[in-house]
Order: sequence, then C-alpha cells, then structure tokens
Amino acid sequence: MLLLADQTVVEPFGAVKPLLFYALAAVIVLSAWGIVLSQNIVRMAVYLLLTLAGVAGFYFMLHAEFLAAVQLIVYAGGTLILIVFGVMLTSKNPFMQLKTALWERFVGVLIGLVIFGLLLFGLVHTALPTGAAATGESGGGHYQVAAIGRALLSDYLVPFEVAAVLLLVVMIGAAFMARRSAKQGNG
Amino acid sequence: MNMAEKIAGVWPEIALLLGAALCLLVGLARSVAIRRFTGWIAAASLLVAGWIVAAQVCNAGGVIGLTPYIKLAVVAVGLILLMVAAAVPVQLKMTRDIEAGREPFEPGLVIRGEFFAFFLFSLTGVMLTADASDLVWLFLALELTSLPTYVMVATSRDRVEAQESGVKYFFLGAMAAAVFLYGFALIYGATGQTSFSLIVDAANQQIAAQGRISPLLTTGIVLSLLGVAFKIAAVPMHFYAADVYQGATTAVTAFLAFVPKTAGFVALIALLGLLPDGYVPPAITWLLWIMAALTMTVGNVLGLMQSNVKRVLAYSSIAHSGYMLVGLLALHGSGDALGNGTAAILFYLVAYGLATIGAFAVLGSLQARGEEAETFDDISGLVRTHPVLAGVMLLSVLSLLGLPPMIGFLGKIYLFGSAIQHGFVGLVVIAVLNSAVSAVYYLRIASACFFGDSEGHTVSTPGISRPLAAGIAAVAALILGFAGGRLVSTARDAGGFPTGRNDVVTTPSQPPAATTASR
Repeated sequence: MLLLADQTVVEPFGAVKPLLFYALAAVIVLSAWGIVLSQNIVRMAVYLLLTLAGVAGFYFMLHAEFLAAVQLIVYAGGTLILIVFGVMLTSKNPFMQLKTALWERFVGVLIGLVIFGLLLFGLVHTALPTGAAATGESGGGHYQVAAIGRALLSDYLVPFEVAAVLLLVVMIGAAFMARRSAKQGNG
Repeated sequence: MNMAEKIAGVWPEIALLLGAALCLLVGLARSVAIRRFTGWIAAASLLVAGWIVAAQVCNAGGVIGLTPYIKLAVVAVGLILLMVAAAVPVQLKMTRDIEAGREPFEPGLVIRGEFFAFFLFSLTGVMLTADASDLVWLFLALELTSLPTYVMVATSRDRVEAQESGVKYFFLGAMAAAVFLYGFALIYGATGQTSFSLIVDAANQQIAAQGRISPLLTTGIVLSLLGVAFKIAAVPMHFYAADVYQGATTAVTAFLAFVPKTAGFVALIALLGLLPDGYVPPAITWLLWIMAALTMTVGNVLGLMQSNVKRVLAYSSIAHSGYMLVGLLALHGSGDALGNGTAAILFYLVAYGLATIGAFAVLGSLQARGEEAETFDDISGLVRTHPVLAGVMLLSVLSLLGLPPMIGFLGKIYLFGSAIQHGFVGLVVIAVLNSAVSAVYYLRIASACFFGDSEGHTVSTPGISRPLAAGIAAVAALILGFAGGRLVSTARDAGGFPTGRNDVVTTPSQPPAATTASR
C-alpha cells in the first residue's frame, strides 16, 4: 500500500478520488455506528478496526503515508489487539453483553448531539482551504518521513522526551498496581 | 525561541526527573532503612529545582514571569505536600511485618519509592505545563501531571473505595483528555500551526481578513476549555471530585486539590492566550461565565449537604475553581493591581493551595478507629484534645472562607476586583453570594472543632511532619494575609506577561504599587 501511494503522488487518484472519499467515509461512519450500537465487545473491536483502517485510508489519500502506516501499525495493529487480549484475559465470558440503561443512552445521545452541533457550527461557518494547501501535496512522498524525524529531534525535542517519560510512568504505574494486587493475594 | 533555549528553561524539570529516577532505584532496596531515604531524595530534588528556578530568575534580572512564578509555587507547596505524604511510613516494625506477610497489606503503610517518584513526575508535569509554548507540549505536560495521580489514587489505600475512585478518575480523565485533544486538533486544523505564537499570528490574520477568528478555531478552543475543565473540577466535569477525594488517603487528596488544578489553570490561561489581544469571541465569554456561575453554585450547594469533611473540602475545591474561573474572564488585564485576571488567579492558586492543604493536613494528623479522620464526628471537640490542630483548622477554613486577616481574603478581592473592572458585575454578585453560602459549611467545620463534644476516639497519627505541614501552611496563610504585598506584586508582574506567547520578547512590568493593598 505504501508503494501504491508513492506512485500516485504524480497523478492523485484522478476522478476516482471523490468516489474513494465517500466510500471510505461510509465505512468509517457505519462502523462507528456499529461500535456504539453493538453490545458485544468483540464485535465492537472489529468495527473499531474498520473505522481505524478507514481513517488510515484517508491519510493515504492525503499523501500522509507515514501517518497512515503509523495508524495501521499502532492503532489497527497494536491497540486493537491489546483490547481483544484485555477482554480475553480479564473477562470470564468474552461474549458478555454490555447493557446500557435508558437514561444512560439518553445522556449519551444528548452529549453526542451537543458536540455534533458544535462541530457542525464550526465547520459550516469556516471557509476551509482547498486544493494543494488543504492536502499539503507539495512535499509528499517519502521526504515526509525525513522531515518528521528532523522535527522530532529539533523543534519537538522536549515534547518527544516528555512522551518518553510519559510512557515510563505508564509502564511503572501498571507494574506497580499489578505487583500490589499480587502481594495482596499472598497476604 | 530555539530548542537550546527551551532545554535551558527545563533544567528544574530535569532535576525533578532525576530525583524521580533515583527514588525508583532506591525504592528497590531490600532494606527498609535505605528505602526511607526516598522521601528525602524527593525533598532534595525539589529544593534543587527551586534553586535552579531562583538562579534563572536572577539571571533574567530578577523579573519573575508566569513560568518561574508557577515553578516556585510548585516547589514551595510541593515541599509542604511532601511533608504530608512522607509522614505515613513511620512504623518500621509494621512495614517489616507487612512485607513478611504477618500483617495484611496496606499500601499506605509501606515505604514505596514509586509513590515519591510519581509525586515528582506529577510536579514535573505542572512545571512543564507552565513552560509549554506548543500544543503538543501542552498536551503531554498535562497528561504527565494526571497519569501519576491516577496510580496514586488507586494504590493509596487497600480498600475497594480507593480502587473504585482510582478507576473512576482514570476513565473520566481519559475522556477529558480525549475532549481537549480533539480541541487541540481543531485549533491545529483552523490555523495550521501548533506553536502558540504562530497560532496567535494566524488568528490575527483571520481578524484582519474577516473581522473575526474562524468559528473552527473558536470551536477548538471551546472543546479544549471543556476538556481542561476536568483538571480543575469545573462544572460539566466535576462529577469525580467528591468520590475521588474521599476514596484516596488524605495525603493524596491534598495533592489532588492543588497539583492538577494548578496545571489546569495554567493550561486555561495559555489556551485563552491563543486569542489575539482584546478579542474574545462571545461564545467563549458566555461559556466561561456560565461555567464559573454553575461551578461555584453547585460546589457550594452540594457542600452544604455533606457529612464527611473530606467531601465538604472536595466541594469547596470545586467552588474555588468557580471563583478562579471568574478571574479567567478578566484575563487580558490592563496591568494595574486590580485589573489583571491572570495575576489574580496566580495569587489565588497559592492562597487556596495553602489553606486547603492545611485543612487536609489536619485531617491527616488524626486517626479515628484506625483510619484517617474524615467525618464531622471525628473532629468534634478537637480543641480539647488537640488545641493546636484545632487552631490550624480554624485558620485554614477562615482563609478558604476569605475572612479579612487571611490570605484568602486578599485573593478574593483581586479576583472579584479584576472581574468588576472588566464589567462582569453580575457574576461577581453571584460569587459574593456564594462566598456567603460557603460560610455555612466552613463554620460548621470550625464549630465542630471548637464547640462539639469530644467522643474521645480520635488520636493523633504518629509522626510530627503532618502537624508541622499543617502548621506551616496555616501560618503562611496568615502571614501572607498580613504581608501579602510582595506576593501580590510578584503575581501581578507574572500575570503582566502576555500569556501563551512565552517566545515573544515581553516588556517588564510596571513598578509595584500594590503593597498598600495588603492591609
């Protein structure tokens, strides 16, 4: 897929582009609905896979190949498998049904509508950039990866290191809490 | 500002991170006697960090900007918090028994290097938040502040309540992080920049072209404000506060009442600093107005109905967030003593932090039925058994209430004064009414201490450091109330720095003129 995207930098998808966009959008929106409406957590994970893969498709269309690859590897690959493993290892019955009360749905729908309205308001009233400025096609291809790497180790060096510290905290925190419950079991 | 200068700015954070790493290593030692050093290591790294900030301030010609102000406040209050936290493992024998499995495991009673490491990691996060000049940086710094607190809450007590509140805190915090990250993404989408100064430039261009900033940018800022509201426990995001404060041990609760809140307000100041000078879209003004009014009212009204002192203090902390949100409306200050909302918030954060930590430290100094004191019964008649602690409690609640000799009074004057200067008289009326309502539950705490019947089951926790911390906090709140002029002018200087534009060269502030207001 990476190769395919690289070749199309010259001729970006042509007339198929709108078609591709709407197809991907449909996949994303429908599977997002699936996540919300499904009551089975394994099914939710599969729908989530479709959503994440669809977003990766968008990134490919925008010639953000690196981002697309990261999206597929980290989210569709890593995070999703983590979720499924988490469910399999912790729950006695992985096909357990998640029931929500009526008022919970009501509150959820309300919050969703508020955020949707907010976003719609913002999008409708803003003149979005079009053409090359919107997609950043000028510097496409694998030069991006070099640029991202350079930015991470120059302009974003401190945030990059903070991210490392953050991961360290998460790792130690998880180990700390797990060790604690093991001790509890013995005591 | 290039990256080399930015790295030079984060030396205090580096000191804290090194201290945290050292705590983790020393915490692995088998001998309890060696592990006792972790608390001292944490204190030493805080002192080193404070010394570095002071040196940086001297190099900059003695002008304390927003960033050094926050860092110094974090060091000072962090040391008091450390005294509250470090007091727990005083019983070496018990620790040994627990480790040998002769006693049930109680996390609060064993010496844990990890606890102090998380303590330092979280404080590092606050300092980095104050340094942030970029959306990516701000997000990571905020998360570095919060993530350790989730673990601290969940592991603070070996009780279902602590774990429940830890899980609750974690999930709601993750949701809030998602909301403000979404906001950050929209800000980036609307301007194409992540650096604060470049975002301000882009917003200025939008105003020049269309006479307003793009609604997408407004939406992004609104979502970010709502997400960060979780850190300060402001109203749509306040649900967790009471349960989490009650579920955690007192040391951790005192930490939660100050540290994430400071990070949250620094982030809010930075986010509002993204707006060009003197231009606040009506949507954001209304959002802050409604949030402030609801936050103080909900906090105070629910505070009236509690029977648990910790829960009362949790709702009081919500209410105080509401007062500080009033100052946020007056952010773009004119620079004089009573007109600058940023300065008022910076001052109030210290005032509120000292008073609330004093109150929590008193609770932590007492034990009832083998647990930390937390109900009104536990502190009833405290003046007969522990007169000093009762006095400290009185000073703390009076400062929270905002009575004249205390620092809380000054804080409220500056907050409300700045809001009046910016024309938010209605909101200030609501705030003053709320302060009056809050007197009911603050005085209820005081009267329980002084006029209640002692039931005799409350004893003091072994160790001197918690009562000492409580005393220091209360005396500081009293002395600063009398002689707060220096702190006020420092806060005003710090607030006078244009927010969110740390990269841009700023003009030094006006000569101090606020010392007369310290009466």
